[in-house]
Amino acid sequence: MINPVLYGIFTFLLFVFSILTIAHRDLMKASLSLAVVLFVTAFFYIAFKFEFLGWTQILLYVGGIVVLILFVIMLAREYVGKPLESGFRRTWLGGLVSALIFIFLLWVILSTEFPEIQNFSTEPVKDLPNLLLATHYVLPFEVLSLLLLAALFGGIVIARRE
Amino acid sequence: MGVKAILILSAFMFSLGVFGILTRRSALGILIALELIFNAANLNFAAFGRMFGKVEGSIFPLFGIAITVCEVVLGFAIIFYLYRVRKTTKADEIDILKG
Amino acid sequence: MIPFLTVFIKSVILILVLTLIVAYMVYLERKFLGWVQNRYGPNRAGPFGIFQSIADAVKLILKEEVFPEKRDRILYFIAPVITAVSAFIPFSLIPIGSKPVIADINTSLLFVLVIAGFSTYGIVLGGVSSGSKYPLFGGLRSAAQFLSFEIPFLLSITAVILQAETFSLKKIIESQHIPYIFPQFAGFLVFFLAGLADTGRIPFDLPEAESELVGGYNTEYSGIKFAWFFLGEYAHLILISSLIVVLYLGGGNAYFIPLPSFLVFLIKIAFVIFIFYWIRTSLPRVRFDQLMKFSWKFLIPLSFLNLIVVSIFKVVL
Repeated sequence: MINPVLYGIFTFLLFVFSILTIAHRDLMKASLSLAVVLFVTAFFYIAFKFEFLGWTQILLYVGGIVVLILFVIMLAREYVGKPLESGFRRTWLGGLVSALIFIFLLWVILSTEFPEIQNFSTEPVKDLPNLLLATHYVLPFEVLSLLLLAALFGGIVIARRE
Repeated sequence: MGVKAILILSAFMFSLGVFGILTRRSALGILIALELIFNAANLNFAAFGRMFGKVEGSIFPLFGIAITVCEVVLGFAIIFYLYRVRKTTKADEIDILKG
Repeated sequence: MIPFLTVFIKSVILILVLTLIVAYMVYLERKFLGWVQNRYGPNRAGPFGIFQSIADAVKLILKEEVFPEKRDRILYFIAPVITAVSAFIPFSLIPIGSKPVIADINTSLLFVLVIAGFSTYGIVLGGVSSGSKYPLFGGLRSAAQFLSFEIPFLLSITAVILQAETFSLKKIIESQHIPYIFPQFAGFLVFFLAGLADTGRIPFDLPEAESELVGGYNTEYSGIKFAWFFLGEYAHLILISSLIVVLYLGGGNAYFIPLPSFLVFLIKIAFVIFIFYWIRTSLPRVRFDQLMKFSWKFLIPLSFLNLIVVSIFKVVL
């Protein structure tokens, strides 16, 4: 479903930058690597023809959330007075647990037979709003907006100075 | 280049995220690792949606993105509050329940 | 191979033309500022000083670059490039006249917004990577400003998408039998002000703020790297004005006047940019808390109201 060369490049970028996201000591660099990871993932979505999802991913994640993370890191840097770094603890134990999880997931994925990829009957970009607003997905959609409102209030209440 | 390759990729991202959560000292680093896990899950949803040829595959990642927004906002608010109270953002130094 | 070649040639021409336009925009802006402030403006290089911008560009290119000691090498280098590139790429999809210059995709509006949003990264990274105090403050302000103005910006665009029922800029223009500024005046106002904040121009130029932060994010940049920032900033201004023209003023539609559509488009853009200059000459810089209050307490409620009104009309009509 994707051009193999492009797929190779995307995969390579994802591998490298997700490792950097986790392993870089400087949190600023780590969050920028996260931005690259999210960006490349968005291109996977676009390659799956979920164009709206892909652009939304970049718009909200890369344009919103990562900028927020950068803002917080810069603010913390202002307080501390030097680049914000983060070390690691219990590296061996964490590595073991995550390696076990990865091996388990790999075993599950490789031992499962997946059906062939099917074509879309309609065009996803045009079908999405109808699906979201006119079928049973409208309820989770509304609940989500309530959740966002609650998060907004919660954030203000927690972070407010007395 | 089927679904399997993408699933393996996202499994890799997921376990890296778990590694980050387990080992990072700073609470900010843990939140960043959490983003990676969310992203891996969203990628899986989209890949399965593509596999079955269903547009629904792109709805769950959209919900996932919105939930991540909430998570980030509240997480940072809590980190800021902790910083004001305890003067640290290191997760392993915040181990006292009572102020 | 041929389509690739034509796209390449078109892109090069587009970039050159844009750079030239930016050069003369700066010249005209300075002339206008001079006229408003009752002085001559640039008048030494060539007749009426028309070579002033070119002389400035040559000066910037030839200038010795000074690097801060504590800079972050990679980020310091990338930041101005991001600002300039993210302002240039969207023009490949903006329909100048009736159809886009280089490519036409179904979700072009989203693409343009996404790429234009990256300019903040350039500013924030420029502030962080310089490794000194004032640029860091500039980057911090830029991030906060971007986050709070992005919400009304996107909400006002949502109303336009709702009314036009498409993500394609070309089809949005085609759907405007009357320009959207009339049915959605509140949305236009929000978009205009949020766009003004997005370009970081004078009432909202807090990331730069010469009088408080020296030069903000570009304090530590000099020579050609500073020129990149400068270019990106002005290209972003053209981008925002062309988005205003496409989304609210009917793009290349001339309605009653018989003129070629690209000419109409350029005239409209020139008009919008003139308004931006006008605002620049007449208004002082806002304070940061005023900026935040303005966005969260005025623009966001107004844009929600606009969205609700538009959707009610959409359902009723």
